[in-house]
Order: sequence, then C-alpha cells, then structure tokens
Amino acid sequence: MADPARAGARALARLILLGALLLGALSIDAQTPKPKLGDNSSGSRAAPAHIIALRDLEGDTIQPGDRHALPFSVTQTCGGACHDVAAISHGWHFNAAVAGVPPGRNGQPWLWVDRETASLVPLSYRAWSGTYKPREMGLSDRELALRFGGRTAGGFGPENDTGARDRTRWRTSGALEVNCLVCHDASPAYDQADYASQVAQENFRYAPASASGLAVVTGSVREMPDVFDYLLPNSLEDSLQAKVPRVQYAPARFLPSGKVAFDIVRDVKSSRCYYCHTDTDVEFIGAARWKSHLDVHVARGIACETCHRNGLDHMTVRGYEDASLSCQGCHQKGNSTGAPRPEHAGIPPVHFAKMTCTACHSGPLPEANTRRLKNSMTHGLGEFNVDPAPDAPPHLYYPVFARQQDGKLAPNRAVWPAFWGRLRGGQVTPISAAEVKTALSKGKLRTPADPGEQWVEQVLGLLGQDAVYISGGKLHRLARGKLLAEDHSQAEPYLWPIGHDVRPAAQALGAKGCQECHSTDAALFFGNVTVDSPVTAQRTTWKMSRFEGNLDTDYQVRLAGVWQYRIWLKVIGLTAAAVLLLVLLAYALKAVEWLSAVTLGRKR
Amino acid sequence: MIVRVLLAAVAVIVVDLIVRLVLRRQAPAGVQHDAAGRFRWLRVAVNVIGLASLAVVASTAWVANEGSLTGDRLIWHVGSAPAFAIGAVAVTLCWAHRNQFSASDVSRLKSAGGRALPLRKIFFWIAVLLAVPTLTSILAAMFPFFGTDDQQNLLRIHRYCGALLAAAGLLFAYFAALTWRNRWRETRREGSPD
Repeated sequence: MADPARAGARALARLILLGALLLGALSIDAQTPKPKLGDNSSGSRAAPAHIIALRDLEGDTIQPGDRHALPFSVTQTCGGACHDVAAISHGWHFNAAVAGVPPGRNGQPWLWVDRETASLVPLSYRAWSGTYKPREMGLSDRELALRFGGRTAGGFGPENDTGARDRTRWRTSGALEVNCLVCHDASPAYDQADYASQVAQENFRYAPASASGLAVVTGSVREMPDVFDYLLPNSLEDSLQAKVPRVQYAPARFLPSGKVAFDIVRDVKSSRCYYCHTDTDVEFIGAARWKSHLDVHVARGIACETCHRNGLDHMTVRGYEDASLSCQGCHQKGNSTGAPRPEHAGIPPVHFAKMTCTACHSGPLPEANTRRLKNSMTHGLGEFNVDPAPDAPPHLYYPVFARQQDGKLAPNRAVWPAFWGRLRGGQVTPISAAEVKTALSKGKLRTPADPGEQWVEQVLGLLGQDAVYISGGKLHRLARGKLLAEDHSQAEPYLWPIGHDVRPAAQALGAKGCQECHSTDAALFFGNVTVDSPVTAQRTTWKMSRFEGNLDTDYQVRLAGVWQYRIWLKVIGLTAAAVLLLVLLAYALKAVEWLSAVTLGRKR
Repeated sequence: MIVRVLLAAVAVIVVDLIVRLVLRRQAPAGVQHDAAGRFRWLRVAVNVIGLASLAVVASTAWVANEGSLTGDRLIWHVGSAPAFAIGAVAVTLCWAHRNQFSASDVSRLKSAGGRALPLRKIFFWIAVLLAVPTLTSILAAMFPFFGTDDQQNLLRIHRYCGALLAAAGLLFAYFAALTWRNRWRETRREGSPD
C-alpha cells in the first residue's frame, strides 16, 4: 500500500511543477508583444477606414460637446489600441537623439543662425561630421523644438533636458509628441504650416489638433506663466485669460457615433514629404517657379514613398547605393521593379568605379560657379511669414562635387559654418551664443549690419586668448594683435549629398560629350565654389577640385589636352586596323591558293 | 595574366639563348639571303620605331590586379597608341612578304639551329592577327555603341589580345634578330679568305 504522506508530497510536487510550467508559458507569452490591430495587416491592399474616437493625453474620449475641450493626443488616438507608436517612434524621423542609432551618411542639418553673433552652425543630434550637437551651442531640446519642431514629425520631450527652466517649461507646454498626421493625414484640411505656427507659440500639446482642421486653437503657451496647467485654464488671472490656449472642435467633423473620420493613408503623398523635404534653386522661386524641372521619377508618377519605404519600425529606406531601393537596386541589380537598365553606351566602366550615379544624374549640372538653393528645413518654405527673397539667409550652395568615404565623386549641398570657439589641442570647441552676447555686452560692442574684420578682431579680443572665429572656410585668430586666417578642418563647409532631382540619360552630365568633363575648363573639376561668410571681406571662391580628394588638376589638364586628339586616335587606329586586315586577307588568300594547289598535286 | 604571358615570352627567349650558348650551334646552311635592297635603312627605321612603340604601349599598359588604367600611364598609353598603330602597319608591310610560309619551313622547324626563321614567321603572323582585335576592341569602346557589360568585354579583349600581342611581338623581334645574326655570320663566313 502506498504511503499516504508520500502520495500527498508527490501530488504537491506535481502541482508545483504544473504551476511553474504555466507561469513559464505565461511569461513567454508576455515577452512576445502581440502586434496591434492596425499593425497586423491581413494583406488587403484596400485602405482601412479610420473612423475613430479622439482621445486626450489621459486616453479619455473627446466629445464635441465637452465643456472644456482638451486637445487630442495623437499618441493616444492612433496608438491606444491600433498602432505601436513606441516602435514607430524609433524610426528615422524621430530617433536623431536616441543613443546607439547609427548616424548614416551626412544629411540635412538644422542650421542655427544668429545675426547678433554672426553665427551659422549646422546642428544635428546625429554624429555627422561637420555638425555640432545642439547642446554644444547651448541649445536645449526644448529650444530646438521651439525653433525647428514645426518642420518635424514631432518626437521632442523633456527626457534629456536637465535645466530647471527647460523642465518647468516642458511641464507648461507638454511634450511635442510624435505626430502621425504629419505624413499620414491626407485630408486637405490638414495644415502643417499651422502646426509650425502652433509649435512656435509653444503650443506643443495643441499643434496636432490645430493642424488637423478638426479644431481651432487660440491662445499661446508662450504667453503663459510657468504655473499654467492646461487642465485648469480658468485658474489663471483674468488678464491672461484672452491668451490662454483653448480648443474648439468643429462639431460637423464628428459623426453621430461621436467618432471622427480621418483620411489616413499608408502611401504618403509626395506633396506632404515636400513640406519638410523641398530643395529649390533660388532661380525658380517666385514667378519663375513654373520653369523648374521635376525629378524624372516624380515626373513619371513615382512617389517619394515608392523608394523611401519602411516597415512598422519606420526606418525609412534612405536610398544608399547598397540599398535595394536605390539607383543600383532598381536599375542594375535584380531589377525586380522593372526599371529600365541603363546602357551607358560609350562610357568607359572606370567612371562607375569613380563616380556615384548621382554625380551625372542628380541636382543641377555643374557650372562655372555654384548655384544657390533654399530648402524647407532651413528656410521654413511653406510656413507663414517666410522671407521669399532668393538671398534670404542662410546661404546654401550646390552642386559641390566632393570625394565620398568610398572614394567616389558625388554632388553635394554645402553650407559654410561661422561661429566663435576656443582652440584647444587643435580642436575648436564652439562658444555658446549666450557667452558671446555677454562678452559683446560687457565690451559695449554692437554688431554692425555688415561686420568687418576689424569687428572680428574686437570680438576675439573680448573673448580671450584662445578664442577663434570660424568663417569663410578659415579659422581666424589673433596673433600679436593681428588677425590671422588659417586652414582648419572645422572651417570646411558642411556637405551633404544630393540624391534628387534625378535627370534622365539625355540630360545627364556627359550627355553632350566627353568634353563636358574632359576639358581644361570643365566645371566638374575647375568650377568655382562660393565661399560664404557673414564677414564680406572673407567671401571668396575655391576651386571644385579642392573638394575632390587628392585630385591631380595638372593631370586633368593634361588628359583634357590629349582628349582633343582622340578623333585622330580613332582615325589612325581604325585605318591601321583596316590595313592590317587587308594584309591578313591578302596573305590568307595566298594561303588558300597554295592549299588549293597542294590538293591538286601541283608544287608551288 | 598579362604578366604571365610576357614572362612566358621572355622565358622562351632566355631558354633559347641558354640552349644556343651551351650547344654553340652554327647557323645552318641554306638560310635565305635578303638582298640589302634600296630600302634597307627605311626598314631598319621602321623596325626600331615599331619595337619602340610596342615597348612603350606594352609597358604603360601594365595594370596590377586587373585594375583600371588611369593617370599619366593612361596618357602615355593613349599617346603612344597612334605611333604603335602606324608602326604596326609599317612593320607588317615591311615583313609580310618575307614572312610568307614556304614548304621548307616545316623541315627547318625540325632542325635545332634553323628553327629561328619559321618561328619568326609564326610569331609575326600571330602578332598581326592579334593586332586587329587589340586595336578594334578599344576603338569600338570609344563609340556610343556598346553598353557597360559589352564595354567590359571589349576591355577584356583589348587587355588579353594586347598582352598576347606584346608577347608575340617580343618573340618575333627575338627570332628576327636571330635570323639577322645567322645571316650576318654566314655573310662573314662567305666573305672570309678561307
């Protein structure tokens, strides 16, 4: 007979084991996140209807009749039950400040311009060579969001700001959360310019609601004291009530169910991308806009997102040469897209080893002097009250043909940095604008409209012994009271590659003949690159070849000289080949004759 | 590949020289005498120019690891190419008649001392034959007829035929020199008092 005590112990052990297994299974299940409703596509190509309830930051549903309407939160409205906003918010559009994200190749920086200190600094959270972290210039994330957030898809928060003032204001304004609508709301009522305007008013919480056209937002957080609480707007004194941010939803936009129909699209319209990603030549601004050319892909109906695709992680394909959706990916490799395979007839293959596709096909053709361009992220194109003047600062130049890390020549956009810094150990550390302004104030020195080198000398004197001024492609410092200009890597322009606008074969560089590049005055090698500076006297030009690595310009001249005689090479070579063929033919005929004689038994 | 071909040509010459030095063979009797002729100095000039241009074109075409020919070597290569083309035609015209094969060539090939002449003829015709694709392949690549893949094939043809042409040209020059030497020795023997 079994021992009842032992049987009981066995039963208990089994129970414990079963419980452990169950817990284990549950924990495994908990570790594997289930895709949310909207992220788990059934495979249908139809656009799903987005008839959804608006939700505020707390996740509560917003109704049109609410007495104190709150701005809807995009994160809660889109991410509550349907989309994994946390995963999405690590995509390229939002992850600049996230640690551990590879920087990728140089891209469009934020250009921080300050007239008072004659400064122009390319800023980026990414480790792009030639850019500076906003914090190096004394800019917090909040200040960056205020300045540039209107031209982003959001994603700014208080996490990295440690300053007391910033933390207080973040509480007042709320975070500028990831705004899905920037790209995916195809409604004609969506207005990104309004979004930018709201961001500039520090209305971070309200910006998506206002831009969506579902509500009208009045007031400005910028005018609010630090103690402002958006949940208790009436707690402020009467004098401020007129400026308190308020939301008024359009009742007509709500369905009888209390929900709202969004026109959400997976395939983002190119016109929406252009809000932030427009590059335009200054020649085609204003009345001359109709003369500008489109990228050949766009002209043929291909949208930005056809190539720049992404999955849920929103790591949008950037079109690098080795990517599947790149020039080579579509036109050379597997060619699964059916894109035409270029013949490149008559072009020696060495060109493809030394130049990128974009060198011949993207941006404007090189000219004697670089051209100027404006773009959305720098000049706020499309925003309210933008200066439409072609020469509105900052000045961007293109195309600058420069050697890439892989040794290939590629066209770039360029901006010349200008800032004050301290030279220590060969490295220049920028001085914050606040420190420069304090020095100017202490020295009672005003910034003239057209700063000269004398002013630079005075400011350097005020900033101290190791102070330098980077501008016009040079490092300027005082030595025995005199201003010296020296070469320095940090004074070089910040360059970022041109991918668009793509020109077809007939308009490519070299389509008119080899002499477009192989001549003694070819702009590709000998064109002038404008060197810009806030100081007029420091403006000059550099030769394009300076950016082309170890390019031997003498050799290019010699090669171009030889090129003139190429026609003679062809004529002589072909004639020689023809004569040799004739000789071969003549003696071959003799051999045939001899063979014929031999076969007939006649000796020769 | 180019290096191997040229080294093979040099190796053939060296081996032949060693064999000759060791055996100290006499030039065989019955070597054809070329009349000095009225154009002797012209022929000498043609031979010198032809050999020199071949040397420049071949030496500047030296590309390690199948890389691209660029820089000043490309300029020298392209610059000397017309001279080489003209030289090749002139050498061909000067030598073609003398390098016709005859029935006695087969027997000469079998004799150790007399094979220089038929070998000269063989390498001459190989060189002429290779000169045509060497020239036409690279010239064709200069016209907008061929795409990237075809261009690469044309470059390969140019490169390999050029290497073989250089080797054949070198061997032709060597065996031509040998036949001259043989003829000169014979002339001296015939002209000597004994």
